[in-house]
Amino acid sequence: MPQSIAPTFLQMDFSKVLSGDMILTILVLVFIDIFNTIGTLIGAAANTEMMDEAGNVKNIKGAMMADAVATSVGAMCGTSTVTTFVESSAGIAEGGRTGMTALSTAFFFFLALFLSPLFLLIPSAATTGALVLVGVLMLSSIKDVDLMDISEALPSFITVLTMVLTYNIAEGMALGLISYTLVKVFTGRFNQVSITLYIVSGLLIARYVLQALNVSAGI
Amino acid sequence: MALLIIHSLINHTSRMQFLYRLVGFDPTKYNLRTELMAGLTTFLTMGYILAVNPDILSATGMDKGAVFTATALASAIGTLLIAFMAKLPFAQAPGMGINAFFAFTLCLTMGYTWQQSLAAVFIEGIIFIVLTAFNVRERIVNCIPKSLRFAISAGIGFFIAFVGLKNSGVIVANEATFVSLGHFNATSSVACLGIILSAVLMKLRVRGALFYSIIISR
Repeated sequence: MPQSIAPTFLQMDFSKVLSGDMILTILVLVFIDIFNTIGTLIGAAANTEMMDEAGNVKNIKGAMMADAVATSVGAMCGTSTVTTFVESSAGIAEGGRTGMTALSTAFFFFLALFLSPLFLLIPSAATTGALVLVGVLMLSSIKDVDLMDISEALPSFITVLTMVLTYNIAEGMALGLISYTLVKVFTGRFNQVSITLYIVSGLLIARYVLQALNVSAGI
Repeated sequence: MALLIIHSLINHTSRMQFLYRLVGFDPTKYNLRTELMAGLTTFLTMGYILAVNPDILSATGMDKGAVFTATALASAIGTLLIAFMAKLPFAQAPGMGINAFFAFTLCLTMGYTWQQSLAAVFIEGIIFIVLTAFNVRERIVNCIPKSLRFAISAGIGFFIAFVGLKNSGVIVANEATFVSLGHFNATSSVACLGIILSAVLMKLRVRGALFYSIIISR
């Protein structure tokens, strides 16, 4: 039988959620999760039939809603933010395309509840090969970036590079979006940046500025 | 109508077809075995969260056994939600990085209790549900330029390969250069053989190549 969930189940304490620090923290959590999820969904679906010609992922709203609901369900169970895992791309590399793949993964998580010691025996060395191969397969997306146009190539390069160096999908996306907007604006290609992208870039820059001010103020 | 529902519950084939529709699986377009193997492969590559998450969160004083159960249960529920609400092959679990932020920043550095921090996570989820319902998240997705979408995909590829290399000690931290090649030991040698093996299996068109590479490298 699984170990009792009682010590963490429905243990949330809402007495501090309206304090200033906590509101900022919640916003940080929102930021990390939004970009992680969007990045994972778009990144893993690219170059499969899950993404259409215009680069849109089908049912992405359903996936984001599931991600959002799961976060609250996770907090009720007693765990930190539940989010879409980038490791899903291993299953997608194996040919998984529908919810049947997710159903299968969910089945094994249920099974793990009862067979935990057995499942915890997969050493990380065993999955390295699969993860590296996923990297190889996802590399092919780069051929769809116009590398001859520096105003497209530089932001793309920054996205790839900083995602690895910061060890953070969300930061890579944020820096890529900011550099895209800046390069396009300073080369006079204002109409290649949508209104939403201007707003998003502004918010992202504001976040880094606030971060820097907090650090210099010693908070 | 009621008869129809009962009939579909009794009749095995039509019951399967009902399930297929719920998860967007079209047997004429996709292969059931491929999908199930893909799900298992995803589970095997992310199963580490079941061990790592209780380790990290218990630093806050949470009960380790309870966190294990919470992790497995929340992952199962989250992944089921994706299967039915999005019909996509994605899996969910408590995110790495965010769990460390939860334990070490929120609880241990800022001094909130884990119960208060869980409340923050719950509120975060509610904000998300609202943002999604009002299409704010969709707008953010739509504003991402096409070239960056492909760059994100390639970046995640490098990122996930880096995670794999780091976890098995092929790549290690280095004070002078940040990162460097680790000394070869049993673990990292198995990892390197696994890399070659997975490429060979895939080139030989073995179905479930990544799955077998994980199982053989074990």
